[in-house]
Amino acid sequence: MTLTNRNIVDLNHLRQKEKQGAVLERLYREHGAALRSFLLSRVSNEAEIEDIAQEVFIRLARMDDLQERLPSGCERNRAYIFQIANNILIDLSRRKAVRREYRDHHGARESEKQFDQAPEIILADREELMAVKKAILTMKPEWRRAFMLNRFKGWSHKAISQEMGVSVKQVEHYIANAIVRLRKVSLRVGGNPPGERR
Amino acid sequence: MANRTSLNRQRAARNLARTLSGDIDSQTARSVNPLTRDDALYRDEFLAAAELLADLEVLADDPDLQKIMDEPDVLKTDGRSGLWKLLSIAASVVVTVAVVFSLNWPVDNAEGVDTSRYVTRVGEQKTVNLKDGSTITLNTATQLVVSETQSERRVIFERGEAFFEVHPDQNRPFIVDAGYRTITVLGTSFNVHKNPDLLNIAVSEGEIAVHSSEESASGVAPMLSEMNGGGQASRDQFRMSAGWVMDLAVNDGQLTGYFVEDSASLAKWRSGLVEFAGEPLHKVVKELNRYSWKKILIEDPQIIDRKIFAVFKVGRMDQALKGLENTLQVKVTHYHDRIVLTGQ
Repeated sequence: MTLTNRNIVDLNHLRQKEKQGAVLERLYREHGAALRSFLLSRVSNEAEIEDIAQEVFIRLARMDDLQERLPSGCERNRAYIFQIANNILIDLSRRKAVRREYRDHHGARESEKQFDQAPEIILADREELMAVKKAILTMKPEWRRAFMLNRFKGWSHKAISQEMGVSVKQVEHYIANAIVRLRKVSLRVGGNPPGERR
Repeated sequence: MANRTSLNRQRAARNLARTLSGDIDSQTARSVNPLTRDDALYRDEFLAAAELLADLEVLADDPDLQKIMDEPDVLKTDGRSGLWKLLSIAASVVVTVAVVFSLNWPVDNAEGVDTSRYVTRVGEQKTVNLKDGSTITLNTATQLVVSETQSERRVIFERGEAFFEVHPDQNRPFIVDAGYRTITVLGTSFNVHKNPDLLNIAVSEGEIAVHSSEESASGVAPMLSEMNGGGQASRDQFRMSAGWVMDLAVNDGQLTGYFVEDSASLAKWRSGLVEFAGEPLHKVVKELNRYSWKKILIEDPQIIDRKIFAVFKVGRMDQALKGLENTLQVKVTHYHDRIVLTGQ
């Protein structure tokens, strides 16, 4: 059998998929338990946990560049996985008008209407983003450092405590204070259901 | 009210931070969960903060913030408002189109072994054709791994429900390892349903051998039909023929076997239908919940045993609920994260 171009493409595709499979297995091993513990703090009914965990890994499987996005040993991996879970939880509990509008406008397929969101498809209000960014830049340096290391670099509280030379509890306080500050400047008003703008 | 709001905001933020630490323990997780208590203010604050954090993910790639993360000392010299003015304000929104991959992917394995994982999401059903000519139909929220070698065909049944139509191959036994028990067949059709509480196996055609996962099948095992105790047994090895169904209760290890006249009717779910013939409402709800993200909860003890005679279409929860409302006089209340049934 001669190796036509088509055969070569198929082999590469297969090799890619094999790599993908190995990456998924690794992620499942390393973060599966932590994911389930996280979900325990967010679901109304513990029976949902397995379904949500399943959906998280399905979304990961659908990512083109999984190996690049979540390389082995990277600090950020767990936070990324938690973020996917968080998005699923938010999708399940509140149908965001903005997201739905985006989907409908861009013609998502019927079967994917619920589940086609990679974490990057976020249409945050531009004004709100700017207000929050300003708040990040003008808050207490300790709060900012702990918050950004945790949210943007995906560091665990333990790692941050070692880096900043304070206790884990102190790190939690810093991050909590940062969150409170950002909640105040964000355009959501406390008491209104999240997802409903102004 | 302002005080209560700010207190809850503080508490919610602290607890949210703890859940995002990456290594929260189950007990703490349960205790901070905003959905499992009546505190509406705490819940709204928690969820609003969680949603806010989700929206902020785009800022992770913001070049100005990146710069600060890499050079924390910059802040000390520039003063707060000065810094803000200096930096460019260009919030970028990153949009990625998710490419749909098929949900079947090869698994890391030893040489000579052809392995694939098959997965369905909640509410999804799909049929898979194996290399040997066998067919597996997967029901909602199912996960299994199939590997075919020279000497055997093996399925690791992780969770969910599937119907197997096994192509006869004398040289290669077809093995389904469902954890609690393992099934070995040569060529036949049967249904497996596994969840944390139970393992249910029903044979549609032919004969299967059921044994514990540590041993292999032996040809002289008794037939389930012959085992005594009025259909109840706790043997480790037996065979089952068409029409026979096995229920293993995982928690107490109790094994029950019974015969179904119409063996062709086993696995009706494959035609997208779920049928109930006099089952109590709580069982019906448990079954319907397998096919739906939004779970149904019964909050009225008086209705839990009401008998249901109905056929529901998979994927039409709205129809199912309307049906319950009309025929059973049950009140259906929709909440943002669940559906609640009470008596009228």
